[in-house]
Amino acid sequence: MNYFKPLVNGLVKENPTFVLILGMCPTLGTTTSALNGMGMGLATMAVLMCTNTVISALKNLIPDQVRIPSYIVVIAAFVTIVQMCMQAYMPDLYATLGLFIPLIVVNCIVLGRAEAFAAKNNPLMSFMDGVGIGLGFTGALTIIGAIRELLGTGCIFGYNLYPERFGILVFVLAPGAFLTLGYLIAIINKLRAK
Amino acid sequence: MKIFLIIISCIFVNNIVLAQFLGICPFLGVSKKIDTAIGMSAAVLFVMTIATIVTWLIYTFVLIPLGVDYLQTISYILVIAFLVQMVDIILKKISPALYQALGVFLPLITTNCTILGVAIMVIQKNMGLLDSTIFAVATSLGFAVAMVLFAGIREQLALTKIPEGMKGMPIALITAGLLAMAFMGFSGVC
Amino acid sequence: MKKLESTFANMFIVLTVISVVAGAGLAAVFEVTKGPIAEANLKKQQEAIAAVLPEGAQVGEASKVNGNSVYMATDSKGAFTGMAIEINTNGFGGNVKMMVGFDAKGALVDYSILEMAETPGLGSKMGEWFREKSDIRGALISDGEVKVSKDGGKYDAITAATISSRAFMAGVNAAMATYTAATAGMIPTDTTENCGVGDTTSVDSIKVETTKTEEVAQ
Repeated sequence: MNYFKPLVNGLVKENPTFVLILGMCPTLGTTTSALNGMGMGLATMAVLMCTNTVISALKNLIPDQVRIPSYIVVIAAFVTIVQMCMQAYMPDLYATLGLFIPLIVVNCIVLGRAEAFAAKNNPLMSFMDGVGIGLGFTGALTIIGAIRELLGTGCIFGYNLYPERFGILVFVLAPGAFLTLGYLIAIINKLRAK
Repeated sequence: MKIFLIIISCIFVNNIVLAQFLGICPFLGVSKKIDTAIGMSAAVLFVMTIATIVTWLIYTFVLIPLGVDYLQTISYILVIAFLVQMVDIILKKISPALYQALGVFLPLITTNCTILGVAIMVIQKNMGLLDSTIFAVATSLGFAVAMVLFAGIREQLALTKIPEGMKGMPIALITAGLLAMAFMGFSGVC
Repeated sequence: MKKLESTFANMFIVLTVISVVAGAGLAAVFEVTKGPIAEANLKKQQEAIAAVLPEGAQVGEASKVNGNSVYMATDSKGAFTGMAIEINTNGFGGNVKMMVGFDAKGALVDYSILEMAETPGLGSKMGEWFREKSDIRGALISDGEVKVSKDGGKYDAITAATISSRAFMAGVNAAMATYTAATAGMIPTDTTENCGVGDTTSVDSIKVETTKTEEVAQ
C-alpha cells in the first residue's frame, strides 16, 4: 500500500477548498490575513489527523445506525481539546480566530473525511489522509489569506510590500472573501479543463 | 429600542451569511431555486430558535453549576443533533404538510454552522434568555433574506451566458461577493 | 474483527462509552491546560495594566467601581499614583473591551484594546489611532468629556470609522467617570460623582489600602 497516495490526493486531486468546495465558512471567514488563514488551516489539520485516526480505529466497534452521532462526539471532543490547547499556548491566535475554532465541529470536511475515508481504511492510511487533506486546506487558506492581505493592505505575513494607502480595503472585508475565492476557483477550473 | 436594534443589526448590518460567513454551505448549496431557499430558511428559523433556547438553558442551569463549561461544544452539538431528530419525528406526526415542505432540509441542518454558531455567540455576548431568543429569530430572518435574494439572482443567472471557467461555483461566489458589498451599505462605512 | 450489529443495546452501549470516554478525556485536558490558560489571561491583563499606568507603579488588587474592574497603582511608599480601568463599550462590531489608565492628576496615561470585533482595516485601527494620529494621551478628566471632532470635540475620528471612534470615546468617558467615582470614595470630604472638576488634584497624598502587588485574583 502506498502511504503517500492519500497525501498527494488531499493536496491536489481532492483539494478540499478548490476542488471539493467544502468547509467554506472558515475559508471565507478567517482569511483576512495569510497568518490567520494558516492558523485556521493548521487547527483544522490537527483535528482532522486525530479524528481520522481514532474513527478509523473504532470503525468496527461502532454500529452503523449510531455512526454519525458517534463521529460527531469524537470530533467535538478533539475540537475542544485543540481549542483549550490554543487558549493556553497561543492566546493571540485564539483571540483572532475566535468563534471559528469551536465551529470546526460542523466543518463538512472533518465529518466528510470520517465518513468517506476513515470509515473504510486502516488507521495509518486515515492518518495520512488527514495530513493530506489538512495540508491542502491549510495551503488553500494561506493562499487566499495572502492574496486578500496583499490586495487589501499591501502586506504579506505582515511584511509591507507597498504603501498601505494603495490597498483595496474591500478585499479585507467580507465581499473580498467571496470575490477572491470565486476568481481563484475560476482560474483553477480553467487550468484543470486543459 | 434595544430589541429593535438587535433585530436590525442581525438582519442587515451583521448579516450572518454575508458579513459573518456562517452558513455558507447551505447558502451556496440550496440556493438554486427560490422555493428551496425559502424551505431551508424556514427550517433554520424553526431549529435555530428552539436550539438557542434549549442550549442557553443547558449552559446556564447544567454546565455552569457543574463547572464543566468546557463540555460546551460537545453538548451543544449533541443537543442540536438530537433536536433535529425530534423535530423531524414530531413534524412527521403532527403536521405532514409542514414536514413535506421542510423534511428534506432537516438532516442538513445538524451540520449547518449557523445553529451552533448562534448558540455559542449568545453565550459569548452574555445575553439573557429573551435577548437570545430574539437574536436567534432575527439572525435566521437575516439568513432568510440573504438566501432568498441570492436564490432570486441565481435563477436569473441560470438563463444568462457565462464564460466557461466561471460556470457554477465561481460565478455564484462572485455574485455573493457583490451582494455582500451591497449589504455593506447598511453598515454605512462611515 | 466483525462489525457490531445495530441492536438497541449495542448502540446504546457504544454511544454511552464514547461519550463518557470523550468527557473524561476533555476533563483531563481541561485540568492540564487550566493553569496555562489562566496564566496566559493573567499575563495579558497584567501587561495591559502595566502598559497604561505610569512607569514603576505597583498594581493593586482588582476592585469593582460602577461595575468596572479597577486596578489602583501606588509607588513604592504606597502613595496613589494612578489607576487602570477595564471598560466595556459597545462598538460597531460588538463589545470592545479596553484598558484605560490615568495618573494621580487624572490625566490619561495610555490605553490598550483587549478585545474587539471592529471592521478589520477600519475600526480595528483603534489600537494605534488615538496614539499616533490623534493623540488622546494626556487628556485631563477635569477638562470634561472627550469627543470626536464631528461631535464638537478635539479628536479626529478614525477615517471611515466614526462609529468605532465614538465607541472609543464613550469608553474613555466611562473610564473617566469611573475614575472620578473611585477617587471620590477615597476623599471623605468630597462626594462629587460627576465627571468632575477639581476633586482629583488632592489625591496625590492619599494612601491606598490595597497594596498587595501583582496578584490579580482570577
